[in-house]
Amino acid sequence: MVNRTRASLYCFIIILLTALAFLRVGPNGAIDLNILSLLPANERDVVVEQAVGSITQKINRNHNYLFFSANKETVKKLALVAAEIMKNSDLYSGINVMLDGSKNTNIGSFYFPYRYRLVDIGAASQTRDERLMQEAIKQLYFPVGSGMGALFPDDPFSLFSHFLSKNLKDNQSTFTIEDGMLIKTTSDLTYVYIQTTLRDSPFNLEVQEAVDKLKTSLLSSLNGEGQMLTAGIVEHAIMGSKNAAAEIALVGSISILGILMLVLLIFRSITPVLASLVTILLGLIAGFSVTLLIFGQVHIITLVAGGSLIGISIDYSFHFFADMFRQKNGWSPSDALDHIWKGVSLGLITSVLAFSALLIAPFPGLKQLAVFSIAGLLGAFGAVIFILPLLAARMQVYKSPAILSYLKLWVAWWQLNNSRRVQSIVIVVSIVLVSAASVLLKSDDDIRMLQAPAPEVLADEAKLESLLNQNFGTQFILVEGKTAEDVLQNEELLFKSLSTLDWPQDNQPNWLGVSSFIPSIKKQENNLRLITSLGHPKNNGVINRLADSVGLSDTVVDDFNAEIDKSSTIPLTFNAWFDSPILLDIKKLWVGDTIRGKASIVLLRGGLNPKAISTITGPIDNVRYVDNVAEISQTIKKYREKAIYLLIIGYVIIAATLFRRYGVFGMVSVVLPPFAAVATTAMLLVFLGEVMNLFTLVGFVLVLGIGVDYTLFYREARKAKSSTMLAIFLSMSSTALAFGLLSFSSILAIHSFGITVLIGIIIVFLLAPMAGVGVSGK
Amino acid sequence: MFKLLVILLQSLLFAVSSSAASKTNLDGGDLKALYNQMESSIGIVSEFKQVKNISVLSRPLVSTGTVYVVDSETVNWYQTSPYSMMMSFTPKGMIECLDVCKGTTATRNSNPFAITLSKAFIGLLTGSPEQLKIFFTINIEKNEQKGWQLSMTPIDPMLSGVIKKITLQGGQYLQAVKILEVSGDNTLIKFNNHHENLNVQLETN
Repeated sequence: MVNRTRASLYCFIIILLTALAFLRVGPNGAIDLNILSLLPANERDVVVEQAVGSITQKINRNHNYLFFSANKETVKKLALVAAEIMKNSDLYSGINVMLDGSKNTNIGSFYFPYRYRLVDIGAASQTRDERLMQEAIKQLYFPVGSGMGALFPDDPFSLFSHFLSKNLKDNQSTFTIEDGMLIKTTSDLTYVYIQTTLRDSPFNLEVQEAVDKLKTSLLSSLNGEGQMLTAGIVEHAIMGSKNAAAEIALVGSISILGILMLVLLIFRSITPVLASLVTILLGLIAGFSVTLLIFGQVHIITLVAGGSLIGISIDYSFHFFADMFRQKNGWSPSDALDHIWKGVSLGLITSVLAFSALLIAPFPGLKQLAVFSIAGLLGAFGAVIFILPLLAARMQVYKSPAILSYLKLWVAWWQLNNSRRVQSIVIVVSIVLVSAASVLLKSDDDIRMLQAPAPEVLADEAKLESLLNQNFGTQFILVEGKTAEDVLQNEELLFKSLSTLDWPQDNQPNWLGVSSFIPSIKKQENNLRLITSLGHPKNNGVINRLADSVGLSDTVVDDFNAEIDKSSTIPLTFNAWFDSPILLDIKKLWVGDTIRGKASIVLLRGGLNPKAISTITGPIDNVRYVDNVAEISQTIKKYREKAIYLLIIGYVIIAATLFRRYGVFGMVSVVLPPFAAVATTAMLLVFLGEVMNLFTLVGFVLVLGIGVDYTLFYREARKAKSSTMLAIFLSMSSTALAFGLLSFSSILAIHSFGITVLIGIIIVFLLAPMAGVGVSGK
Repeated sequence: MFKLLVILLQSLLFAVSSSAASKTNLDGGDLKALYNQMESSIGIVSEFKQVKNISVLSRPLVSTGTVYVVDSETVNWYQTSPYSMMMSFTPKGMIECLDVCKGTTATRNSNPFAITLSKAFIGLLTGSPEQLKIFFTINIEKNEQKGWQLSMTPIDPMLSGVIKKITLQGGQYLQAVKILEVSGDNTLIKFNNHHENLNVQLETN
C-alpha cells in the first residue's frame, strides 16, 4: 500500500512537471532549431552581441526566390502567379515582386535638394578642376545619350548622377527593372527575382512547414514552364529540421527496437520490456519537462543527444531484472530492490556529479544536455524505485540466458588475472595513451560542425548570390559613436582606410554601410565647400571655364551658383534620412541605441583576409572588426579546453566520494577502468582519423559517468558478479545501440559524440570486472 | 521635375547597367528582312560625324572619328576631333578606354543612355536587333533608295520622359542615327566610308 502511495506520488510529480513545462513553452514552440542559441551569449562585448543579434534577426527572415525560364514573357507571368500564391499564404510581411515605379524616383526626389552635399570631389587643385571639366565636356560629346542639355543646370558635372548611380548599384545588384519586376537575362535564361520577408522566425517549425508547403504549391504552379530557386536561412532550417527529424526517428526506432529485442531474448518475458519502456519514457519525460521548464525550449541537438539517455536510464531496470538470476528461488522485487539499491544510488550520484561538471560551463548547449540528462536519470531512477517493483510483482523467473555463461567466463578470467600489479600496468599504459592522444588527436572547433548544410541548399544559395552580384560575407565591422553623427564620421574614416586595401577589380561592392547613403554633417559641409569652389568666385570658377569651352549660357552658370548657395542652408540630417521611406534594406545596417551610444554595421565582401581588415580597423577608435563565425569557433575552442578541466574536476569529485567508501585501492579499482577506457578511446580516435571537438569531450564525460556506474555496480555486487555483469552487458549493448547509431549522424558534433561513446562504452564494459580486485566474496 | 527624371533615369540605368543581353523572340519578319539586306558589319570600320544641338549651348557640338565593329558583342568608338577619346560598347556597358581598349586599362563609363544605346548600337551594327526591343517599340520604314529607316519610341515611361524618338537610317550599312529629346535637344550621327580594315588602331581583348 505504501509502495502504491509512493508510486502515485511519483507519477503525480511527473505529470505536474509535464503540465508546468507545457505552460512554459514559448511562442516559438518547444523545439529550438537555432544553432546559435547553443552558444554562450554573454561572452562577447554587449554591443557586438547586440549588433550580431540585430543583423541576424533582420537577415534571418529574408527569403529569396528566383524564377527562371528560357522565355521572358513566360517567366514574368509565372512570377506574378507565384507572388499571388505567396501573398495568399500570409507567410510573409513583405513581398517585393512588382517594384513601385516611384520607389527610385522617391530616392532621387529625396536626395535632390541635398545634391551638392553628397559627393566628395576632392581637395581643390588645378588637376581636379581640369579633370572635372574634361569629364563634363566628355559627357557632352559622348556619342549617344548623356550630356543632354536638360541636365546641365542642375548637375553640370554629373555629380548627383554619379552618387545615385553608385548607391543604387550597390543596393540593387545586377537586376534590371523591367515592367516593375527585377529581371536579369543571360544568353539562355531570363530570371525574375522576388525578395520576401517572413512574418515569423525561420526557426519556428510551423513556419518551416508552411514554407515547405508553399514551395510545393509554387513548383506545381510553374507547370514545367519554368524553374524556381530559393535561398534564405529558412531553407537551411527546413533541411536541418528534416535531417534531425529523420535522424531522431532512425536512431530512436532502431535503438528502441534493438534494446527491446535484447531484453526479450534475455528475460523471455514481456514484463521487463514494458518496465524498460516505462523507465525510458518516464526518464525522457522528466528530462524534456525539466529542460523546458528551465530553458523555455529544448534544442534539437539536446534532444538528439539526450534522446540517447535511453542508453543510461534503462540501465537501472536492467540491474533490477538481472537480479533475478542471482537467486532464482524465492526472488522477489523487494529483494531485488534491496540488493541493487546501493549500486544504483551510487551510480546515480556519480552520474549526476559527472553531468554537473557540465553545468558549470556557461555554455547553453552543454547546460541543456546536463540538465536533460540529470533530470532524465532522476526520473528513470524514480521509475525503478517506485514503479518497477509494482510491475514485476507477478513476474516469473525463467532459466538463465546463454550469454550468462560467457559472462561468467569473463568474470572468472578477471578474477584469476586481476591484481594490483595489473592495475599499475593499466595506469601506466593509460597515462601513456592519454599523453600521446593529447598530442596526436587533432582538434577542430569550427561552429559549422554543429550543422550539416545540405549541398543543394548551398548550391542554390551560391547561384543566387552570383546572379545578384552580392558577395557579402559573415564578417562585418561594428562602428560606434556617442551620437549618430559620430557613428557616420567614424564610418567615413573607416571607408577612407578601407579604400586603401587592394580590392578585387570585379565591379562588386566591397563594403556596404549607411554613411555611403547619409554622409555626416561634417562631411556634407566639406563636400559643399569643395563644390562651391567650382562655381565661385564668379567668372573664374570651373563652371565659367566650362561655359567658355562649350558655349554654356550665363543663366546656367548663375543657376549653378544659386543652387550651391541654397544648399548651404539645408543640411541632410540623419533623422530625416532614417525616417524617410527610402532604402529600407540599407537601414537594416543601423544597430541604433546601445549602452555606449549608437552603432552601425558595415558589411564586407566575402573571402577577405581577416588580418588585412584587422590591420585597417585596429588603429581607428570605435571601430571593431567582427568575424562572427571565427569568434564563435574560438569560443567553442575555449570551452573545449575548459571542459577538459571540468572533466578532471568532475572525476576528482567522483573519486573523492568513492574514497570515503572504498579507501584508496578500492577507489582506484572503480575509477581506473573508465579512465583506461577514455585513454584507449582517445588513441583509437587518432587511428580512425577523427577530430577532437567539444562533443568528443561530452562523449568522454559520458564514458566516465556510465563507466563508473558499471564499476560501482560490479564492486557493490559482492557475490552476484555474473548477474551484475549481465545487467552491465545489457546496459552496454543498449548504450552502444543508441550511441553507435549517433555516429552515423551527418552532423559532425553528434557523430563525434556517438563514436566516442560507442568505443568508450565497449572498452569500459570489458574492463569493468577490474573493479572487483581486493573485494571479499569473489 | 523633368530634369530630375533625366538624372534619375541616368542613375537608374547605370545602376542596372551590367545586366546581360536579353533574348526576345522577334515574330515580325520585317527586322529579319532588314538584316538580310544588310551586310555583316563585323570587322567593318566607318567614319562618323556627330552633331549635337543642345539648347543651353550657344553652338552645336561637333565631333568626328571612326567606329569599329569588333565582334558580335563589341563596338569600339574612336573620337579624333575635337579631342581624342576611345570607348568600347559591350552588352555589359560602355567602357571608356585610357589607351587601347584592353582589360585593366579601361574604366567603366557611367553614362546610362550610352549603356542603353550601347546595346542598341551593338544590335544594329552586328545584326542582332533583339536588344532594341527591351527599351523601344520599333517601326520599320523603307525609303526609295532601297534604304531603310527604324523609328524607335521608348517603352519605359521614364525613358520616354527624356527621349522622344530615335531614328536609324541605313542601306547596306547603318548610315545615320538621330536622337530627338523631349526637351527639343537633338543629336545626329552620320556614318560613311564603311570599309573592312583589319589593321585598325583600336584593339580589344
